[in-house]
Amino acid sequence: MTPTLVIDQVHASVDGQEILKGISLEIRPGEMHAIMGRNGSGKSTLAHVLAGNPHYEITSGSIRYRGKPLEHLTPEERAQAGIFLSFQYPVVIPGVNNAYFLRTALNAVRKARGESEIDAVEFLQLAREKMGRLEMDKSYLNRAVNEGFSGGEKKRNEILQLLLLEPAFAILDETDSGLDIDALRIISAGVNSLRDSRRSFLVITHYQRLLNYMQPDVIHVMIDGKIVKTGGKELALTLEEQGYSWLETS
Amino acid sequence: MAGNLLTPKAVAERVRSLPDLANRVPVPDLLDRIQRQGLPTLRQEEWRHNRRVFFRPEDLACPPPPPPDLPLRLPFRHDDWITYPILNGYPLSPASPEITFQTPPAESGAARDGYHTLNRLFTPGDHVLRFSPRSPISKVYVPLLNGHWEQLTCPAVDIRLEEGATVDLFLHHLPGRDGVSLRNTAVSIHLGRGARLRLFTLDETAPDDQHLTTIHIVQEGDSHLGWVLEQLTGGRSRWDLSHRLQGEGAELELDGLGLLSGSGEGDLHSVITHHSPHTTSRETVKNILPERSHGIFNGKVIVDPGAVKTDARQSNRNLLLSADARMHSNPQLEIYADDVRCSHGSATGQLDPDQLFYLRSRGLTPDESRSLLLTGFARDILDRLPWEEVRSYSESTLHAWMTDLP
Repeated sequence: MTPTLVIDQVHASVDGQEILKGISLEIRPGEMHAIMGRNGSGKSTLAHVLAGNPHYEITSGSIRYRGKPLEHLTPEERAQAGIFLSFQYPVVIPGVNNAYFLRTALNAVRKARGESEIDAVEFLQLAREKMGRLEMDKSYLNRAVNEGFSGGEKKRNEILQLLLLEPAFAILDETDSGLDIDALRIISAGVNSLRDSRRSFLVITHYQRLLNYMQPDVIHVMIDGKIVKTGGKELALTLEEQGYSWLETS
Repeated sequence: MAGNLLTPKAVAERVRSLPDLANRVPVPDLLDRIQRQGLPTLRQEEWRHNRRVFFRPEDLACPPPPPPDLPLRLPFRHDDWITYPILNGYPLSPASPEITFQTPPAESGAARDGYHTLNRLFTPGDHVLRFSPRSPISKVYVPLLNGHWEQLTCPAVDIRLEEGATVDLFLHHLPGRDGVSLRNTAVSIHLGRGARLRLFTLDETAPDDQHLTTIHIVQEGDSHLGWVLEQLTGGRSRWDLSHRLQGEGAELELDGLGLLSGSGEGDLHSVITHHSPHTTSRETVKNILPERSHGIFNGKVIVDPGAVKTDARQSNRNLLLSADARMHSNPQLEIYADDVRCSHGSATGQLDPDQLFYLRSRGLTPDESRSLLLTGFARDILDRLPWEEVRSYSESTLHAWMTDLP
């Protein structure tokens, strides 16, 4: 089976400063990978590079998504091809109604998949059902996108988009930060409900605790723009006990 | 070009060729006044950011009254609204107890500036809209238009709400359609004690149009004005507002939106004076500037001595969509009283790349993302319109404007 994602020796920089210094990674259909690491290790940069943020420049290496080169696709082409990034800091968009935004996003992706557009009534039904699963109040539909949302509410709104868009490959960038245990459990259940033999995930986190809820297949440790260690679930536990310093010296 | 400048001398010369004027206004007095006030030049502080001053001597003329059966193409119609069109400054509807056309026009002792006096000189009369709490009509739509007339028109509208009256008013400057629209409008509004006016003024200009509106507002105690001012301008639109919160407890909420296009110019000069204690003003003005357009916001808030517990907030935010667009923003506060709350802020920038990326990462194209962000920016103001039918009309103009963006 074609891997979902193959990253091969990718170097990337922001404003001329190199952040990713030779990353390689392969994610197969149905797999969930986690990347752990300290602040500033390059985890979020990798997420934004994969989503196509024009602010980040790939200087060398290659990325293949479902067997095809990814680098030259625009952010919207990537979204339409099934890539989804749950933002660490979801952006506030004043004056734009959340329901309208969510439906526009869903229809952009549906159109790309060759499906018919969903109308406002159908959409409302669908959104309500997904919001119920995330224990989100319906009033969030009628507010401006992320405006006045707390940190946790913004994260729920990201996962709501994940549930609506049903991407083939989801990147969750520090989705757990700012969440209490209850919210973490609810959001993780939402994410887990999408796991199947074809959909893949890349979960970025500081903390081992998220992995109690999401159960990744593979864990990578990132330090200074490189993956320095890859292992199974037990690696997260070792990190929880011993921190990252034993890896830096090795 | 110097020969074409509108100076007091050029006005006097022009007026000599229009003998009819003397039949309706005291021409020598008004010419004297213009001579004293002068007419603006680009060297003056209040005009130095404009590309040009308004009108040329040869634009000055006396439009004839329109034929009574003239067919009108009005873009907004709704059963809840009484329509009172003003064509070339003349009425088209018969008078009613609330709305009359008064000739000769009032002399207006409140001499504001040379353009205002020019309006007094050339206006055919004053449209006086007077409302009491017992007035049977509460919603009035006033479209101002030119009918096959390409020289200057000088409409004058005088709105008076008596104590406790409540009125909704939509004043609509239509653009030139078959020819250019040159309009020098004078509006005065007086809100009596406890009166409430909900006002929408929409000024549309096409590329060669010039619309200058001088508006003077006085609010007595506990009156309330909720006002949305939209400038949809591919030509030139300037509003000169002098606003006086005269009585204790008077409140003003002014939301302005400039949607510019081409090399259009949108200009709002406002002076809001808090004269009495416990007066409130909120002024929020936004502009979107594409192509070679040019925006000016000059907002002054004055707190008079003794106007304690004044609460004045002003903000101006502008989006530049092109490297050739320009915005001049100049908020000013003059505070002569203690114990007041005043704030002002101004920000001019481009579309936020983080917002654009967020939307694109959800599958929206750059064009769709931009439209959504611009709609959000503008809706913030247009959502203040309290009437569904007017809001949907203004949204249709917003979409038409956006469709024409390069």
